[in-house]
Amino acid sequence: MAQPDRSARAARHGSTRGALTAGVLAPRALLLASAPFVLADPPGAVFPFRRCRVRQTLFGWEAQLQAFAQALAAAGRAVFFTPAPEIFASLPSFRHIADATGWNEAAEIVHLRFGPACCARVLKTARNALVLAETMPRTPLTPSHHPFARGDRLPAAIERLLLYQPLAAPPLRIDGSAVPCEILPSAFSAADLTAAAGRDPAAETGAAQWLVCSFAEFDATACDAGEWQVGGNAARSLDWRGARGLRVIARERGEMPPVQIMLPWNLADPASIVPDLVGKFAGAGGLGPGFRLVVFPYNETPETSAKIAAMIAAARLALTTHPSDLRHFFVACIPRLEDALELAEWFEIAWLEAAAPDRLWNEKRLAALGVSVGVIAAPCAGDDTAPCLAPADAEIMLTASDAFGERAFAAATLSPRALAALLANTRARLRSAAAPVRRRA
Amino acid sequence: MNPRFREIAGALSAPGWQLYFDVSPLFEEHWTGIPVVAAGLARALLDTLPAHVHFFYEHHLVARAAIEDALARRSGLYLLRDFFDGPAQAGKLPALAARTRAIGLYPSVKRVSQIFPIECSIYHDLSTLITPRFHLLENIRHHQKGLVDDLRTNDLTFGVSQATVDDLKAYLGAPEDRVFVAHNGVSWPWWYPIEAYNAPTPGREDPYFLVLGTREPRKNLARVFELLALFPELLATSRFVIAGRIGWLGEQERMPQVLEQAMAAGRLMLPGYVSDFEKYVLLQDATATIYPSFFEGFGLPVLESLSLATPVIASFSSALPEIGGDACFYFDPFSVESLYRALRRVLDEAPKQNPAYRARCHEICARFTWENMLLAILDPLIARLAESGAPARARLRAVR
Repeated sequence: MAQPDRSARAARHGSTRGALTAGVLAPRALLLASAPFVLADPPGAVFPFRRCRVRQTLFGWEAQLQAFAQALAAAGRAVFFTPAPEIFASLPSFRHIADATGWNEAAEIVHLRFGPACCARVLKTARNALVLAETMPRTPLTPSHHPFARGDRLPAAIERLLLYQPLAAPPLRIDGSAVPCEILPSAFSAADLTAAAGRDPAAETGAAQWLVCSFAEFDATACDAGEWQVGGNAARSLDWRGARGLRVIARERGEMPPVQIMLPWNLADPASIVPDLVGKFAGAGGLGPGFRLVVFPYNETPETSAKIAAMIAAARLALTTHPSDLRHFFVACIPRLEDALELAEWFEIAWLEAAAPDRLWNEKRLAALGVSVGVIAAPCAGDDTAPCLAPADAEIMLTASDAFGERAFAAATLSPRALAALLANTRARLRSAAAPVRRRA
Repeated sequence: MNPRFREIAGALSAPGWQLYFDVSPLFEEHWTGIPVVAAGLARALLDTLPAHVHFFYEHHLVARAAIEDALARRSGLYLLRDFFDGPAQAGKLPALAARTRAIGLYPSVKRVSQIFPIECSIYHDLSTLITPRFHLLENIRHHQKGLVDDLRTNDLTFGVSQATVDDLKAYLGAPEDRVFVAHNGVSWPWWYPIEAYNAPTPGREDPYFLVLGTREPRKNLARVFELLALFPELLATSRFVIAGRIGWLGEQERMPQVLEQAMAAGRLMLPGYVSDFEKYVLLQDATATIYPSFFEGFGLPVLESLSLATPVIASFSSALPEIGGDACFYFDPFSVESLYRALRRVLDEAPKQNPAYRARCHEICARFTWENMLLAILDPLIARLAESGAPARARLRAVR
């Protein structure tokens, strides 16, 4: 299906490129960022963003904020972070901002809010901008009393939208008025990765190493607000060591190693089909020996954390008779940028949900890392950004019960038959991609 | 009584306006927070505009004597029973055709809306919208039901603080000319000081810090537990009393094991819910109160504490500095070191013994009375009625 011209659509909504410094990022302004994630132990109400310990460095709000802050750091601008912009309303609170940041009260504060439109927050008296990576908000079938549940309305005080890519229909303010949009330069999507690539690999950043474990090893009791791990120490995942070792040895012997696939999972997306797909793979008897699937959950909060345990519990139940196949499924997150740089070495391909709200942003991140991408469950063929490995052939109803109300979503998904085709297409795509390399060799 | 009320009574009388006050918050057995505000306003209405006020719950009138009784008891236990058993009911609201000069005044979320030609409601905070992580889903849904609709159907909307009004504007786009600040008041029954003076008070000589409020995550009690765990020497010189009913999501506020010894030794006390009078006594005798909340639309306990000249160590969050002014010792709610610093300042400066500080507390609290709150509601309401040709519009609405 032909896609409408994006630049024309952007022009209709007044998007401009390259006006950032003249707009919200005025030179003297204090840049104070916030995002929906909950820090386990924030050092205060305001602190430099570099003191934030990011848990998932690759995807989601944390990664967006990290890349944004790095892009500004390159321009000599510091970004501060507040876990709760709503607390600032009076003189003592603003005095605290001045004490913590050296802010000169004559200058303005620019509050940069990250995360989806439905979670937008404002810092009163500041200039509020929403940095939006979502291009396709999920629209619930059911009504909600929550004024922002549909993702198409924003708080009245949001002055500007900073977008990673033009939107066909940017969210409006609650009163229906349009919000001026600016398109972020491409550096804002991957500046952190670029900077990490240029750093000394031996430099100690203090961040934790990979958190990864198989579905067989996952310890649900250790899963608490994002601190999930294997028996207290993620580095000891034997199944992951086995999977990595198998790849190294297979390559040494000139054999085809099992295909390792990344599957990012936006936990804040109530209509994500990742649990459905994993459940179907498990129900169909596993992935088979030639594949390893590594799910990367992101946007993890105390409210969404339980979804990981629930997905794994369902897979374990389905694979009761084939428990060894649970060792082919992994769950992982990458707190350290340096580890992210190695991903192309460990993963042949990443599957991205076609309808994931932030899919285009994830594509940019993976492209910066050299990981090839295949879109799955596209409602129709002809996607213009990445090849579709398996179009949707089924629909499921998903429900969510959260702060936005009881909501139902219709989501395009893959049947078990389409999953079989997905695996075959993935292997075929990798073969065709590898063929020219062999010829050259 | 403020002479302005006589003018307001005159302005209401001439066209025959009647005020209908929603008493649903008063049906709670224990009054804290919103029921206290509803009670303060009900008392002020009875005292200042007795000929113009009626009380209602959903579509029913509530007997004035039953409200007087509940206000005297400072509890809605018997009001609830008597209303649903019948004696406190005073019939249905007047028929729609006879309601053309009725003003519905709602002290909180409207249980039923668009039943009066003129409606006003009070927003206490937008915390279920802005900080849903601190609330149970059923609480969020109860409040969100009216969040936008109440604003839309109100002729005038009131916030209990400038911070809340600013939130209404910043999030929901409340129009400037239809949203006003009406600060809560503070008052104690006249006999409390006498009873407190005569009450037996074993152990009163031992100083203590008081933390008052429902135990729920928004109140940030975990910061106080962290303080005591990190600086246990505080327990050697002062006791800590954490009073308030158990709320929700309590596991996040669980007391660390390291403090169990302090509890066994009577240095840390958690008496649970305390009665209004017990609260008064506790506040009066405390060295200072600690109010570490992450988000408040007003912060009634801050005002209650200052009304008894007891210093408040409060977080600088949301509306608290607006209410406490320069009489509070503020700290960063995310930093235990900041809390410790504020607490040490109170210990060093002993403001409670300072007559100038006590005078300042009284000066601040004198502004926060229920009559002033009622005036802050009625003044713009009367102005609105006068400027908008309300009778004609009201008739139209009633017909519609």
